Amino acid sequence: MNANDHFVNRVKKSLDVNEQDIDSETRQQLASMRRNALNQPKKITWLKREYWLPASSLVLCSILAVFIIVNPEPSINPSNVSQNQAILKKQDAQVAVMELLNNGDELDLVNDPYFYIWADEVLIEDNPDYAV
Amino acid sequence: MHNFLADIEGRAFRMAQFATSNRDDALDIVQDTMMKLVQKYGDRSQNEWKPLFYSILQTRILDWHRRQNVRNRFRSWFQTNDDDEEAENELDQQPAKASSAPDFNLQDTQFGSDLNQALSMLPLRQQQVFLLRVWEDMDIAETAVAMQCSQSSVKTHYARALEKLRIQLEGHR
Repeated sequence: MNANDHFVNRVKKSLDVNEQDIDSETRQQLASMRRNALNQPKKITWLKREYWLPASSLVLCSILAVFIIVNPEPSINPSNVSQNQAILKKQDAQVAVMELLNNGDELDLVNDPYFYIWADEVLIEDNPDYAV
Repeated sequence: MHNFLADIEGRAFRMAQFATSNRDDALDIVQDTMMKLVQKYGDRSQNEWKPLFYSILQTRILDWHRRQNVRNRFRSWFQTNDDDEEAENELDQQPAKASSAPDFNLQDTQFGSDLNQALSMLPLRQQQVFLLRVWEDMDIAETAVAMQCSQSSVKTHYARALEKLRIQLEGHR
């Protein structure tokens, strides 16, 4: 046994004595703490956020998936397309008239009767319904 | 678990007392450690309890020191004049002198007293490593787990602590 071991053994012996020397009041307190620790009610672990977060994410994803499967994107109907195109054309014509009226430089045209004749001819070419 | 805690609580209390120099704070630290061990790691295997217990204890002691540092900073701003009184109280809170049992001679009593003082003066990490290695007979790997540091740090802290204690207690050879 070298000097270090001898010293360490002496220290350990002294520490053991020190532990035995703990007063009775402290010992009682330690025993009481031990009992409290062992008898503490167990926390309900399933309420923890780390359990709820993945579960709720999974449920949300499932709902989204079901929603997408049940309500797929509406299929393209040829009759709907022609209707939409007709509406767009009508809107274009109205927009053109509005632009004409709003443009100050071209307001002279509005007072010119030949303009209406010309516009009528153009509109008849596009669609007879739009004729003035 | 009951037997494990009953066996370890005395040493844990003394370790906390060495680290804090305060009996009540040491008791609080041990209580927190017991609570957390039972609550979080009670279902672990028995072999794991000891490193886990000391890991929690060391963390609690470190927390206590951090809080004390913050508190001391505030105190230094307000400059209270009760420093002498506090120093006196700290001395009162040191672990009791070694046993007064008849078979424990005066020389050993003096050695125990000086050892307590020398241990309390060690830097915290050195003190913790030394106590775990010597008192708890934990090997380097176990101590590293409990201290949450590398094995080489454990070796360094232990060597330095041993050297300092040997120098401080040289008169008792």
